[in-house]
Amino acid sequence: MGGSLYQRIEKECEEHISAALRSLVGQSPDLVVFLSLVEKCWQDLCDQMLMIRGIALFLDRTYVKQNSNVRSLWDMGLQLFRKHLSLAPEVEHKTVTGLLRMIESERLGEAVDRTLLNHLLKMFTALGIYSESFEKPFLECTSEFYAAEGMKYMQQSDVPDYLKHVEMRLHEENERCFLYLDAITRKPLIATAERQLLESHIPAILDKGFMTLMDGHRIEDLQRMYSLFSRASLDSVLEESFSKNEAFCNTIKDSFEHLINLRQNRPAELIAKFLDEKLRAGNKGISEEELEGTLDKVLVLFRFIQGKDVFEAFYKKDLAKRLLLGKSASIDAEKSMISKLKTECGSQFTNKLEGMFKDIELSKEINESFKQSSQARMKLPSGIEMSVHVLTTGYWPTYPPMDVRLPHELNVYQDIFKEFYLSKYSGRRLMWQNSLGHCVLKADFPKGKKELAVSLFQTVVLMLFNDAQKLSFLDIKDSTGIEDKELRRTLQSLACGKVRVLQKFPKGRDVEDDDSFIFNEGFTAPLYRIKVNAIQMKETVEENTSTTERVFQDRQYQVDAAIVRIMKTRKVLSHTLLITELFQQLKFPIKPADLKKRIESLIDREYLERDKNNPQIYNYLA
Amino acid sequence: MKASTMCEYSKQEFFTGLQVLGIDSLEKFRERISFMRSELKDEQKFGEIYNFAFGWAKEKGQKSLALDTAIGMWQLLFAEKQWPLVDHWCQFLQARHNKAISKDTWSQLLEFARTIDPSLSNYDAEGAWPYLIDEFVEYLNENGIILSSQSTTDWSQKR
Repeated sequence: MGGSLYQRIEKECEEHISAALRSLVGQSPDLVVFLSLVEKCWQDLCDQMLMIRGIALFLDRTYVKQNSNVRSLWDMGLQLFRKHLSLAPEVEHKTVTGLLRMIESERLGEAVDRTLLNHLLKMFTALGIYSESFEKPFLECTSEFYAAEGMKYMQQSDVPDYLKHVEMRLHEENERCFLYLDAITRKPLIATAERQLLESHIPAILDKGFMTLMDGHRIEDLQRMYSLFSRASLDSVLEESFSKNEAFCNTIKDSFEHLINLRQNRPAELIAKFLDEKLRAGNKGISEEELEGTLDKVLVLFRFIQGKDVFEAFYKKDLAKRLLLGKSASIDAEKSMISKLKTECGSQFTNKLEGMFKDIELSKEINESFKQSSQARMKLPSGIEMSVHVLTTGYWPTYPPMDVRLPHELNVYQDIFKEFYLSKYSGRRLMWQNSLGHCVLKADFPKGKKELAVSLFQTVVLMLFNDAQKLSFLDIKDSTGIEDKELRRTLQSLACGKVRVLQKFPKGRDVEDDDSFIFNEGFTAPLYRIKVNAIQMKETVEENTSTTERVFQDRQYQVDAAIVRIMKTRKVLSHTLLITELFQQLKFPIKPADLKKRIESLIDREYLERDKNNPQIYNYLA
Repeated sequence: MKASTMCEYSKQEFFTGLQVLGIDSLEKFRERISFMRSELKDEQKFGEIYNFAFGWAKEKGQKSLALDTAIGMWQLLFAEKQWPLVDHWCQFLQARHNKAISKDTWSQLLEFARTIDPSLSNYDAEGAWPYLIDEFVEYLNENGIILSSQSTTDWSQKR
């Protein structure tokens, strides 16, 4: 009895379902309306089958279970729907077309009925025809869409905007998978989009945009470029074999590395500068986490730089300034960066940097002792507060000696400290770095007392006005002994900037030889304590050039040392082998031509000679 | 060649020199000059003279030879022993180098003139040639004096 009931139910269902689907044929030229009709048809089927199953539950549980070749009622309904759908191919086709059109509209910015999409795609899945009937044409459509879009946008936007757009699109497509597409479509979908938007344009992107981003310090954009590119290759693993993928990944890495290092030292310098900005105090509104995240991103780029010694030199210089002028945003962030660099490059790289921190901490202790010491208590006038940073040469950048004739009092204070220090640590030599000094001067202006935070050089200049009302540039130069360019900079900062404690005649931005300066009687300012020493944090072009030059000079010494070391061991070596050895030993980029120059220099200085019989061979000269 | 200063012979030095050469008549002197000229043609002798010339021509106490002097010497020496590139070499130095010449460069130049053919076909850029000579080759290529040969196909051999 179960069998005949089942068959009658099946027959009824079939008649009903086939009629329902046939009725959709020729319905509504408007695709969206059509889709709603399909949805209704499907929804009705589901509801009806559920009810039938509910009523004939006993059938499902007995007859169906006992007969393995008989489907459950629900499945029977599905199968019938699928069968009759395939008998009315234009319905299926129209449905798919409608769905693809809706998705395209959404991509073009229109609002679409996502619920409708969701339901219909679930229908496809339930019917087991999702991959064949929908996903395949969908991916093709997507491919065409993004191929066209990619070309259009590449022509009309600049690279950073293009990459932002790509990122947005990929995000969008990902969302699509949560909203209505089946989860299995995600991987091939993203891969397709990436292929069209990125892979086909990589050469153009690198050509067009890379240099602009490097020049403009656009670290975030570069990071975006790198992460998009490396993702693009990872996601195409599905399509390609492992070996092809690895090669692609490596090609990306290599091209990136090649491009970054085409600009020689600029990337190293720029990355160091970027870090300086982030680690300096005054970065309002950036949380600790954000900062950590940024530091990690920067490290990704850092890995590509050859010649990390340039980075080290700039980083060290900027770190020194931050530590000595008390400008670090957070010592924790500083130390975190150091440990990241340590993980990347080993402790040799960061030893000196860590030494700098030790010096700062040690200096704190020394200053405490100094305050308590007999020298300070007896010899320093009350009201003078002095603290000294004692730097270990070798950890800190080399500072060019800057002459200055300090006022007598300041000389005395320096000697007092020296006496104290050497009494504790005999056998050491102290050298004052006057360019790094800074002071707080108490100034008596007619309109109110002020405290001025100034550099030592600014102090020396200002103190001259204790004894004179008006001074010419040349007078000041004679009295202070400060080097010409530095002096002009110093006077500019006192007389031509925002805070004018001195007045310059004639007025003007630049300091000329026959300018004169007077104490600004009329000076006022809203705050009691005023910073005038911002110039110490700024770097001059000369500073940067000399930092780079010092690195190159240092490299020359390293090359010479390496050549001598190699030749001493080998005694006799051909030119080609010597060059090969050098490239293996030296850790920074260098051209063979430069190596030749060093070899010739060593020949000239009689460390080596060419072999008499074969000039391509060198002999070591003991 | 025992004169103490280049081109200046004291009367004494002149007569001593002649005695060493076994010259006691004008006839013998003329013979000797042509003989010495032919000696220059001998490779080894030329090499000795050439390398000696460096030390002889430079200022006392200097390690390198002033450029003007070097150029003059080269013009002189290569007048006898033909080297087609000598003029280009001198032009190149005046345009691009403007510094003194080291001993190594001086001696390697002779090697270069001897072993490398004027079309530079057997020149190896990766070799141990002094940097200045590498630059000279670049100069010749840049100015189209020597056309750097890429791979050529002998079409007659193709099947």
